[in-house]
Amino acid sequence: MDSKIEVRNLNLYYDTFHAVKDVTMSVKPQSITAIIGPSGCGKSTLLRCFNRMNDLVEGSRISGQILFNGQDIYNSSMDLTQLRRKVGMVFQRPNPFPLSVFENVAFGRRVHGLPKGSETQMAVEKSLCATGLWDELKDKLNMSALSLSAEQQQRLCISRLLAIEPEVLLMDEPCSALDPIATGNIEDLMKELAINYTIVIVTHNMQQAARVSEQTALFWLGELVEYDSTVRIFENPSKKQTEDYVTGRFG
Amino acid sequence: MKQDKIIQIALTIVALSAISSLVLITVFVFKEGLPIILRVGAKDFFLSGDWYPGEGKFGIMNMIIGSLAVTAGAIIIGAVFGLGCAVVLTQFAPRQLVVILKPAIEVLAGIPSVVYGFIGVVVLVPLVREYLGGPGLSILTSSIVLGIMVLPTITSISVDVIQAVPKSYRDGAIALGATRWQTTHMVILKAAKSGILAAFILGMGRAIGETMAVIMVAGNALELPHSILDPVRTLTSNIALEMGYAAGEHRQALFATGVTLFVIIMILNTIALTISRRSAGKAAKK
Repeated sequence: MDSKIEVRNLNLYYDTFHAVKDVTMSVKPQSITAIIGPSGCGKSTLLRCFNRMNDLVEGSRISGQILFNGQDIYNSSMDLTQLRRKVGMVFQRPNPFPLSVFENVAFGRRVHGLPKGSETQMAVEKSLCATGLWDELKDKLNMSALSLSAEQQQRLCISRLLAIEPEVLLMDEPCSALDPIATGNIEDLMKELAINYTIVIVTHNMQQAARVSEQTALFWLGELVEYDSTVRIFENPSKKQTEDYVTGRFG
Repeated sequence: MKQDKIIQIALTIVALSAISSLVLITVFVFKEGLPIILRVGAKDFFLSGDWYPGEGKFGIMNMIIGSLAVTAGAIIIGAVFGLGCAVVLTQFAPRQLVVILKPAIEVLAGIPSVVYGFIGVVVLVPLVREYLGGPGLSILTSSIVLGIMVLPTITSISVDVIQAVPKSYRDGAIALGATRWQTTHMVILKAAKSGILAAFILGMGRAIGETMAVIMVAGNALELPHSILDPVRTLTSNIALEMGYAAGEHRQALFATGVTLFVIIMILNTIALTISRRSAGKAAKK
């Protein structure tokens, strides 16, 4: 399959505000796709369509289609629980639950009724290993997740997703609450994860998009301006607007 | 400058008057009540059920048990329904419904307690007598009436506490595929746990201190109750019922009843404060 997520003529309104305008794009599997653009351009809104988190916003309406593995996720027969299991989300501010480290990672498995006991223990260990937290935290699994550092918390939030074996990781400015060193570490982690997972990252940091992603989409006032390989977008964009934006001349 | 000074002094006096009346009441109640406890002996006062003021017997154990039983029942009813209301209002109800329901629950707090007692006597007592047995005036009836009376306290504090849980927890849980109910009980209620506990304890404080409604529905018998359908007399009822004709030692014993009540409520409030401070401290750290 050559696209994991396919967006077709997507429009989204918050009451009367037209937040996403007729967007068509596709996300390649096992790669990192960056969505960049100025604040308020609809990039986070689009990301929140991929796991239907916008459903929680009162007054949001949508038209068009989003296909995940070829299935229309806005079809009424879509099982939201299953969709969100497959399409996980990492938020701007790390948001571990006020539970222990172990309970945080095991949370998704409980929610989805996956086998308990040793299987959960293995899943927790594996997920923490995958984000590089296991060695730091293996003796502190009962510690409250709120006492971790910001970077550890964000890694924990990623582990929490990995424990339920998702296919896509949506990341909404995952490093904006982190310092530069922690940001570098999380970016390295993203690259590792992209071997197995499809990652879509929203960022207002153009250097970050250039460093980690393979494809980049530029949004402007709800419209998709240009979508191409990251190298093309940053070195040889086909539109003047993209060039101006990535070279910092406006926005 | 000079005006500031005057206002400052005036305000200080006003502020001190509130505190001093608290101090005065405390001193007075303890001064009147403590001697009789010492004279009768703490053991005979607290651990005996013989309350015969005419014969100089002042044992308030049955009333302590009555107060605790009625309060425990009230808090069970108040907790179940109050927390239920709070969860529905914050997590499940559409906004239009919340706008109607929340003020309605708060109005409950404004109904005078004698009205609750009256409705209890007229409606609840016959129902309990007919369908469950006993005289109808009982621990159960009082618990139900008090449970409804503490609903607004428990509901509105719980609503505030639940609303103070960061939205990011909810988003995080929903994004992991949790249903609304899973999100509520696995994350939100856990995060709000200590605040909800404080709400229960404050509700308890209200229930144990309530007098009028309880006098009307509890039956006020002095015997040790053997089931929740038996009548009881609470500490508050005892004071209100007998103060009209009490004199001498009897009067002092009523003050001692007040001291007991005072201490119980102080303990409850301290627990509630400690719990809510601790949870506030945790939130600040986050």
